[in-house]
Amino acid sequence: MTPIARADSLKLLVLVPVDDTESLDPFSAVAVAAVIAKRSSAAVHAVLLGRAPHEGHGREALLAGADKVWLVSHPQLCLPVQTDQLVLAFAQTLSELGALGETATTLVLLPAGAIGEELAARLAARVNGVALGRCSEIELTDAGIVAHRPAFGGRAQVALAPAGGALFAAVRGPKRSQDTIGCAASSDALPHRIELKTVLPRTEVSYHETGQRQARLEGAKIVVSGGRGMAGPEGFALLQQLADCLGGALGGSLPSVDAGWVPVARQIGQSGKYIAPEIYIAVGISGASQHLAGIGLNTRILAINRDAEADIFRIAEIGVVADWQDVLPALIDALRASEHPSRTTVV
Amino acid sequence: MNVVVLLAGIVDPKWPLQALHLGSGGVAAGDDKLPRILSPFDEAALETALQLRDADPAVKIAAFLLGGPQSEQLLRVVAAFRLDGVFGVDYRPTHRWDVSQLARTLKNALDATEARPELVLIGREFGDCDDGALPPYLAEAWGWRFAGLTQEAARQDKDLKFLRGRGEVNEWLTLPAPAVASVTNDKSNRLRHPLIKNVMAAKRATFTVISPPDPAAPPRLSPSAFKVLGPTLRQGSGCRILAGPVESQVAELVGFLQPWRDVP
Repeated sequence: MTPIARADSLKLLVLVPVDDTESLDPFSAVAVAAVIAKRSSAAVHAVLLGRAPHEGHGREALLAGADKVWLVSHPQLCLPVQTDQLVLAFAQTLSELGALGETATTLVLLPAGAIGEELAARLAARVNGVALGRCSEIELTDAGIVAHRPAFGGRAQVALAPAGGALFAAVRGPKRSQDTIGCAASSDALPHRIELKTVLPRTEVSYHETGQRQARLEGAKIVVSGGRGMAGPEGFALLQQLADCLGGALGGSLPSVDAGWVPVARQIGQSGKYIAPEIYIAVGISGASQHLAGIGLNTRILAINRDAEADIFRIAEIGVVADWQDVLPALIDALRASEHPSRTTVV
Repeated sequence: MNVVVLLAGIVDPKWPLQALHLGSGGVAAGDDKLPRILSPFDEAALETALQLRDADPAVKIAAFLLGGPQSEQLLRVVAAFRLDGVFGVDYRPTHRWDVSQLARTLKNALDATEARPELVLIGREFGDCDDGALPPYLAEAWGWRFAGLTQEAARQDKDLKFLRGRGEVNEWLTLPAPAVASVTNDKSNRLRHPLIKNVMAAKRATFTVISPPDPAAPPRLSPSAFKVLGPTLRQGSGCRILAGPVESQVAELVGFLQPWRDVP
């Protein structure tokens, strides 16, 4: 297999659907590209697409490390986003910019999440590119681009070497701080504007409220999560009370979703949501790598599990080896009492 | 309506992976010798197809399982659901990481059997080597409409409808056939148990295994390194296990959590 082209023939593009409200940090993909760019002479080109992307989006992209920014608008783009529209609009934008084919290798990054990952794969197919998947890391080595991602349910890690061409990956960057990535000072830093006018397809979608009014997982500072060890929906009702006490959000592992104790929209893990709260309270969760893959590396984990040998205790900061039925009611009562010392609570 | 279910199978998560290593062109020895089961997403896709048949007995379901002759045991598991066709799809190990090659192999398998589905159901992740890129890639490469992360499917006249849960809101998408839908796990699509008589019948079934086309295009994505992981090592120097009566442990937890409660 021919190794990928050298670093100096690499182009870096980041595509950001700015109207995707489910993405935790859409501009983190720009930050990932900026890190790769430091090893090459490539500039980071950020294409921000939405119904009406504004200067604030452009500034975010520049702060994340973009060298050049395009604000691409299309008034027909639906909200909530429809991926059929985004695929066509991004494809058209790439074509208008002549973004693919000039160099031996173009690395196109999108933010990890349901929308970004679907777009990455579909755009790769559309332009006969290579789909790298959802990558935990992309590095530029002397041999070329290497994409790292989990495999076998998160129990293994594979490094993939593409043969070149247009490469598409969804990535999740580290938490960004403004003092690590700076804004380009050149005039190229001012965003360029493109307005698309092609007719976009519109998928018929109807929406129905579920009646669920729980705090969102995305962006929650505290997440309370249950696993197979909860043994039923009653345990999750207690977890919801705990989350409410803490102003947090409720999550669950894949087995608990499979069992119907928590909806799939709250599934955390490699095959669910990725979250990066400050505190993660794992109750009845064994600590399987597939689940841990959905939790930010800097998140502090507090674990409650009756099995002292559970893997979760290898990575938690604080552990309680006890039955949740003994701990949760007492914990909820204590939290409520500390908020309202005179209040008597019945769980 | 003709429905095709694409199934990948996974290495049974209860089995250790230490036998796996990087062979020439891809993960080789040990992989095909480890027991395989249907993944939760394979099962969700299969159950979704069965529910379509429950609603309309005229629906025909064919399943294509990736894996070749060594997947006979898993083919029998699938056949126990009394489908209209169950096929094995052999593939080149060098292609397992390259979704473009897998998409081509799967399309070839459908064409070889003259399956003309109006709907293809596939788990949101297709096997151990895919993290969700294959289903949308496959749909786009085939020129079909795509509905991702669906939980239920239904037919409405000539159109297909797909349910997606989004927390506070559920979406129903309507797409014209043919379409590819990736299916995610949900309590509504937990795979049913097959009837015992069908399990017995499946034990006697024979299966067609479709081979990949020749000549093989070189893979555009290949592994350069592979490592089986232990428990993730995260920051921190180890877990502090609380001790003492539950009340005192709870008091420590409250103290630990207090700073986050004080922040608005």
